[in-house]
Amino acid sequence: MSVEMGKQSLEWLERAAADGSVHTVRVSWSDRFGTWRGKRLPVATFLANPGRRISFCDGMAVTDVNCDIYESTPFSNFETGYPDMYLEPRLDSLGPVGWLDGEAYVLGTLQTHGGEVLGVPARNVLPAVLARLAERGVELGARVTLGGRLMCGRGAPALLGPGGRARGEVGAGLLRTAAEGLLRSGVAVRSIDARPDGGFGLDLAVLDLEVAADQAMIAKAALKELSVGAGPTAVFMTMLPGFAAPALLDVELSVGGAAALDPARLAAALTTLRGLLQPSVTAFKAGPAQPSVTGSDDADRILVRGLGAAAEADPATALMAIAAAVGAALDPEVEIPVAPVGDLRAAADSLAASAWAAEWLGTDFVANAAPLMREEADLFAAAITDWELDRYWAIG
Amino acid sequence: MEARWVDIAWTDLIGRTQVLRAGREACEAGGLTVPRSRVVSGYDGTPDGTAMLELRPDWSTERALPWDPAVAVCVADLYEDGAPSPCCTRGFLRSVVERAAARDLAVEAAVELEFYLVDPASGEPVYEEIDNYSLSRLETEPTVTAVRNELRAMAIGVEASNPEYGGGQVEINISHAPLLVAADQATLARLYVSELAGRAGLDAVFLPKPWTERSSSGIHVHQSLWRDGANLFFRPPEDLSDIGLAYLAGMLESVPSFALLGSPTPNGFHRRADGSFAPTVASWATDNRTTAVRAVLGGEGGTRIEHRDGASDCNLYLTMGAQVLAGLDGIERELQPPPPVVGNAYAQDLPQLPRTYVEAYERLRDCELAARILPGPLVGAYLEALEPEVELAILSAADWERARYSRVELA
Repeated sequence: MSVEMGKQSLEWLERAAADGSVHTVRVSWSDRFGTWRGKRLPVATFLANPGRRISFCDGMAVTDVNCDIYESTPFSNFETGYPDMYLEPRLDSLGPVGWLDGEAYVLGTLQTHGGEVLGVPARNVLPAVLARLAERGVELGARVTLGGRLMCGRGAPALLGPGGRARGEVGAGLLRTAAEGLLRSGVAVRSIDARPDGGFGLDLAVLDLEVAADQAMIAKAALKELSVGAGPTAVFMTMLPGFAAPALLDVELSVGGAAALDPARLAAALTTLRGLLQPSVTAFKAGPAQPSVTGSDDADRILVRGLGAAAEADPATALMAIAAAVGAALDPEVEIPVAPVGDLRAAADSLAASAWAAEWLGTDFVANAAPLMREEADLFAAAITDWELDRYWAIG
Repeated sequence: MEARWVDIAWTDLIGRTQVLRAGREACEAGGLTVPRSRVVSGYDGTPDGTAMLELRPDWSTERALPWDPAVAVCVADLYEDGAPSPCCTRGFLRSVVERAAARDLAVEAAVELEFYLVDPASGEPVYEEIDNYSLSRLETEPTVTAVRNELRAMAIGVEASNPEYGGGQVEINISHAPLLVAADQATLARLYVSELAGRAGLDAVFLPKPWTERSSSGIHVHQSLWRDGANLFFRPPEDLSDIGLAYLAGMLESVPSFALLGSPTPNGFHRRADGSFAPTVASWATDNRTTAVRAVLGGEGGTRIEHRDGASDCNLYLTMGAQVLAGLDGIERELQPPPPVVGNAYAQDLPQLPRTYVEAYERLRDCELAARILPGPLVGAYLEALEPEVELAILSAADWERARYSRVELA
């Protein structure tokens, strides 16, 4: 297969279909956890009508990490009847699935039956947040490092040699195989930081936030897919026993068009949105964001680090939240309460109560994100954990 | 070059598609037969009598097997004493097509198939987690990719696939086609999904409810009526036409009493649970997954009615034919449907669909609508084939009953 890197065209796909190198197209979107979802279409079916919208049950926009559905989400529940939502392919996102022969992918925008862009998926809200910043003359770039661990089962980190190849791995190893496949897919991998203890960071080039969101999501998917079968598994759980540092979706944000950015206001805004950056009970153990703001080599830009997104976070959600927090922090008219958010339930309450969050993220998004955080918090509150069993089994 | 062997595919009353492999010359010469008892004897398969049915290939359905060029498959009708057998469900569906054609109507249909991919060694799905629409379940994707690609190479119009709501559960969507073609394609697809899964070392399970705690598998049939290239169900700018509503009304009227036609086993009735996305009440609405019949508004080309009650192991010819006949009957009688459901159909006071096999059997047996619009000998033979299952459904003690209600641990 002759693969050209970067964005592909329909003509490329037609050639690939004709020479047999592509037989399937993933028509796709990412869910609220950054999981890559969609349908696989035979390439001929896709090419017969590339712009055709594909329908999905809209409940999938508001599921929890186990694909469970809840009545507390106003967007989709049994009273709404779980109608279809429609994915309109974004043909400028077309590319090969570089780690799996025969497949191409295209991303899309989730819409109503009538063609309105849904306000619930973070990937749809992100462009609106960026547009709002652009109206204020602010432009953002992001360099995303996708952090995780390679594990050989729970409690058994893979021991990584130079270049990230695990001891005993056959071939180039999962990390390099993923990186090469991602490059073929058009994902801008700059480097692989593989640590002997099994931790890794997959560093993507500086990109606009929408592209960064898409590419980070695809990178996660590649690592998960390549983890199936023998060999180590890529795990994105933020905190794991034996690892002192959390696994992060590390974002280095480059801000243009802003004279200054108050890190305290930014930290407060990120705290309001903490449940979007740290979407699990475990992720909260990593602690809140502690942003640092510095100048950059480019005198017109500011660099921001320490933005606190967990590796478990959906890249689109995290980047949307970060962008909105920057927007709020830059606006002196916006009141940002300074209040700690210690757990997911508090995060839900903080998000739901925030006027600026509703304004920046939209009421649809907030009205559906907050209940799901509460559901997750309630599930954890009801769970009897192994720690409790170990500690209290013999008590009394 | 023509394939040397032909797999003559025929479907028995209860929906099992079986294959007689014969040399091409023998097929073309005619006279291939199958015992009538194999067609009509149900799950027991008890040989009874010496009557034979002739397999007559419909050569328009012939297609090569991509993985075995020496073999082609061809769907057959069943003939009895030189005439179409009343037990031939494909012949029944053909008669439905002819009946519609007599009114200058063409029926288009599209079928969604659902099934589980299972590890034969453990009997469990190849993965555990619910992961609907995931693109990353590579435990199943090589097999599903082979299914899509090989079926398309056989001119079976697979247009999409995705993991479904159960762990290891798969859905494949077959493109719309004229009714008989659609049923042939879906029937062959089901046959060869099993073959292709087997080649990958897996089992494809079309049992509707293999496990209590996992999602069930159904058949959703999307239907529309056409005349002179126009979709008669479409009312601009975006609504269901009067003829569509009448068709829907006829179909809806039949759902409670025709349930057994779409669910030939007691297992199929375990699908019926509130909140399961399988229907529990006779209901309809536009784009509402809690109802039995769903109107889908998709513009001139895509407006259709989806029947959601059939189980994944049904006889597709019989199920689809009965659904369409009921719809046509609704048009002939100029029926009006009840108001569409608003909200959750599971929570509304609507006519209940049969929740048990026994109830479904009795409803079909005693149904005036079935007696009027369905061929009596066919329905009679179907009921006779399934009668032993009624008794089994009543008499069998399930493992869960022993576990739950016995104070003593029983084997």
